[in-house]
Amino acid sequence: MMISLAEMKINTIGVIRQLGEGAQFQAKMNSLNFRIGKRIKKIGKSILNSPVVVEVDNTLVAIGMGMARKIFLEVVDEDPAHGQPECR
Amino acid sequence: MKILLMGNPNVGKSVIFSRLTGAHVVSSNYPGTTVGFTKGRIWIEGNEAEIIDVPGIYRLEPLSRADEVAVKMLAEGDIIINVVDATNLERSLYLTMQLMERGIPMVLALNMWDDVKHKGINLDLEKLREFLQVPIIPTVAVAGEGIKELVAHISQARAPHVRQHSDEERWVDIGKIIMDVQLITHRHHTFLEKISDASLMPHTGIPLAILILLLCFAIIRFLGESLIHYVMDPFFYRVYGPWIIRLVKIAFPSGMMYNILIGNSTNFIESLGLLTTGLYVPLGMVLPYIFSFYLILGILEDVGYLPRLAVLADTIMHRVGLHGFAIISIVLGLGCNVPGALSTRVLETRREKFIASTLLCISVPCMAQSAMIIGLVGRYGLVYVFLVYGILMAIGIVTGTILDKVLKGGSPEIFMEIPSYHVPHLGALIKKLRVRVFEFLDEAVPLVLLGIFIINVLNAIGVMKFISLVAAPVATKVWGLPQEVVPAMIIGFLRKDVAVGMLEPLHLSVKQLVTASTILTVYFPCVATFFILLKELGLKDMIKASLIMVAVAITIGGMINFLWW
Repeated sequence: MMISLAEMKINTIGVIRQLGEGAQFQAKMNSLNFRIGKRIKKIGKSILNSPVVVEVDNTLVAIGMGMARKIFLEVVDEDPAHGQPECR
Repeated sequence: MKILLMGNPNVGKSVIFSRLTGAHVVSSNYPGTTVGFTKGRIWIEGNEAEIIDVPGIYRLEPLSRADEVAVKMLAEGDIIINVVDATNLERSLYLTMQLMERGIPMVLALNMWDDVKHKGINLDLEKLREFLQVPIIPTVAVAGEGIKELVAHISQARAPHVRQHSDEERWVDIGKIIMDVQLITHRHHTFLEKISDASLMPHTGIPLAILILLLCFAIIRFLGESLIHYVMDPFFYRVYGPWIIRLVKIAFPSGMMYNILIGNSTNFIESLGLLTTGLYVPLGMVLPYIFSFYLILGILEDVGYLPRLAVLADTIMHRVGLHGFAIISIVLGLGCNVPGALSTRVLETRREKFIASTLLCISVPCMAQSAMIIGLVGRYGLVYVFLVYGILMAIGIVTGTILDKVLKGGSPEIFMEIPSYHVPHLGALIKKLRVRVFEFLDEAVPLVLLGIFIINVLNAIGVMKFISLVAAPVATKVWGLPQEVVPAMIIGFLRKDVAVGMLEPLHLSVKQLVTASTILTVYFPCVATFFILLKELGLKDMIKASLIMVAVAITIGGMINFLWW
């Protein structure tokens, strides 16, 4: 089941399955390696619409909530401490 | 021959540039430090070549003004030194592929090589060389490692034939390279990573940010005041002052020349002499604060704290039509409005740039002005200094909120890489501090001297009196200030620190000092910032921004005057 990055729980790993429409949005996402098939870990939750913080490859990226709502992922691990590889 | 230093943002291009050329450029641990290009010279096998530090980009399709500058530069390059973050190879390879498709000979600097092991990454350099077919040199730019090898390999730069790829094809190729070249092993969070996480989460990050900012303010003030009281004041009043007065008296015992050079008071802020006030204000009062501010800012920048502050400030910045990254322009503006104004280039839209620039001019006093405000207003208690800053912050929030509502469009969302925390490299920190202090001295001392000379000339021919009379109704009736503050406002266009200093001989009440200090911040930018903004915003937007500043200055001055308890 796919959920948006905004909905994904903190400390969860997901694989990007769909990016919102718009060439500019997708180009922007690609610039920081947000691509279909990429594993990302959500490490910071949003309070009062503050940005979400995620880990992609070895990098932390802050992403606005509006954008986070347009990134859809398949959750592959609810708790990465259980022996699965981390994103970092 | 032209050599371009290119690569993703925050991979250490400016540090490599500085190492290659010996030029002094400012580099920091956050993306977007370089917003224009810097040129230098380098000798390669007996031939002189031009080397250009290009702003960082992720791909060759520009998303901001700084990106446009970078892409434009590409047409002029004979050789590219492609700086790649070794800890972030996959992402860096996208730009690498795009650059290789252009057919410009390339040498690749694999920077931050020392961090690779810390992050549990294994890279097979030989395989990477086989894939890319260009010289690849591992470097640790901040420590100077690998720089000699890099220079030695520039002449061997190669341009293997790479056909034009589609977006998807590029990523497929990159995927193959990464599979063969890179192995990431699992490891636990380091201490710095745990601090990094804590400083990003709103519930821990916000209290931490308040604590850090208060601590920074306390250190800057302590260092600044200590330098003034224990070094600068004793030097100016006990050593330099008596000596220069004696010397000038020998040549001009009294009269106009004596007044122009020394002035007519023993207080070096009041005297308005070229050799007294002209040197005491920039060196005795402002320099200690410039030194302490840039020391602390340098540490915050190199540690990598500012992008975290940008994330935490994002929600509130959206209320004023900006996104979190604009807080970096404001923090830089607290040192000097010029780099603050230049840094607005990384903001994506014209609307954002307009709001950021207007707010920067209206509510961000530079450190030179702050030093004078702390010196003058602080005599009545720190509470009044905080009052000035509180009023300026409130003006910024209200003006920003109104602009956000009135201007068409919305503010783009933050989408920003947050660099890892790094322990600052002492050598790099000192070098950056030296560059900034000398930049201040280069710019400030001549302008302060010119400002004081103009004051003396205008005073002597009666122009100041005339302007004061014309502007008197606003100054006296609306702001409750004596008409003599008007000359300070005229000089404020040249240097705001001199303008605040000109309030000293007027012996204003604390209410008047708070009003005048606030107005002097708000009403107009200094000449250096004005011309930068004119270039960045264009004439039309600059006129609009200036009208807003004047309107806000008249209103806020009146409000403080009428509402003061």
